[in-house]
Amino acid sequence: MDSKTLGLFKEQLPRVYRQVLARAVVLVQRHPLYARGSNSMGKAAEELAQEAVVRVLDGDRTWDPTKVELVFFLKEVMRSILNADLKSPAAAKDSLNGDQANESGTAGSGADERLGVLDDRDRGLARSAEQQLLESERCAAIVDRALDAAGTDPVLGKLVNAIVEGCSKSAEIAQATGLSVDQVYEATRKLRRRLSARGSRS
Amino acid sequence: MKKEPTKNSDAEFVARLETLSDEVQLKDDEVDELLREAGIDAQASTERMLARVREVEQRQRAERFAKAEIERKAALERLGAPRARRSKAELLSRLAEIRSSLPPGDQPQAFYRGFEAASEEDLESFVADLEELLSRGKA
Repeated sequence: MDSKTLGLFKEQLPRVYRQVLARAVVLVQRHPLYARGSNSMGKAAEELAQEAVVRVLDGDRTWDPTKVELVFFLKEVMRSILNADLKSPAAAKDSLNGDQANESGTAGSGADERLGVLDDRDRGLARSAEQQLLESERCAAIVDRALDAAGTDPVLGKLVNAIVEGCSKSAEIAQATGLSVDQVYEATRKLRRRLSARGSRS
Repeated sequence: MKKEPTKNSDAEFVARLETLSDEVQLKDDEVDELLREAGIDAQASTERMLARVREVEQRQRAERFAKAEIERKAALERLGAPRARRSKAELLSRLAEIRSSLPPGDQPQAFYRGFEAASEEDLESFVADLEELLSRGKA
């Protein structure tokens, strides 16, 4: 990053940092395994946001202010850090340890160990299947709550239908529904609030 | 809702919803709620982040100084290393070669009427300095 962009980055950062932190919270809430080494979800979110800032300062990521706003740029950096962490061997190990802790004391696992039926890899796969199940339950709950949240609101109904049909960008949804992009933004915020009130984050 | 997603497409639906949600800026009240839920004091957190920025900048500065110091020591070693003796004619020829390789604005300046009048020792030192600068792209 050249010195002019670096100056702009440092000037804008304190102003947008609340937004960055909030985005970090959303990301960590979506992927709670990321918070495994932290005392709390909030601490993990703060560490994620700080790590993104450090990566930019160290030149690992280059911000182009002519192409993307700082908040969205840092959100992408955070998502990349989080995804890399979740794919790391440490994450797999922690996931496995959590699984073993959950299983301890059950007759089945002790018997399996004695018989040599399960090795660590098998346990990892079992855990992965369990995680997939939990993730699919989480997704199903969000879908149910999104449909419920849309209720009889015609604009939210159009928004949710467009997402069901495969749209994920505001411009696509605007084109598919006839809503303006600003209406799509507003409807998305409304849906977010309703999902939050129903206990789900999007 | 006329068309509900099947269970198999739930994950895709959520992925699209999250993509859309990421695109839409959070309003202040949403930010407040998220931070409150996570137990984050934005002001204190911003101060911690700025302290971390200062730490990173200090580390980077120390690394730059350490690198410059290594380069300086290496340059001194090169200058101090015994050089093959060159005759005055060879030194003048090398100097002419260096001068011809440089644009008029970058010509080396020295307080000699003509380099021919310089002592062999001074000339040797001057040419060595120029060669060192050229090797570092600073001549």
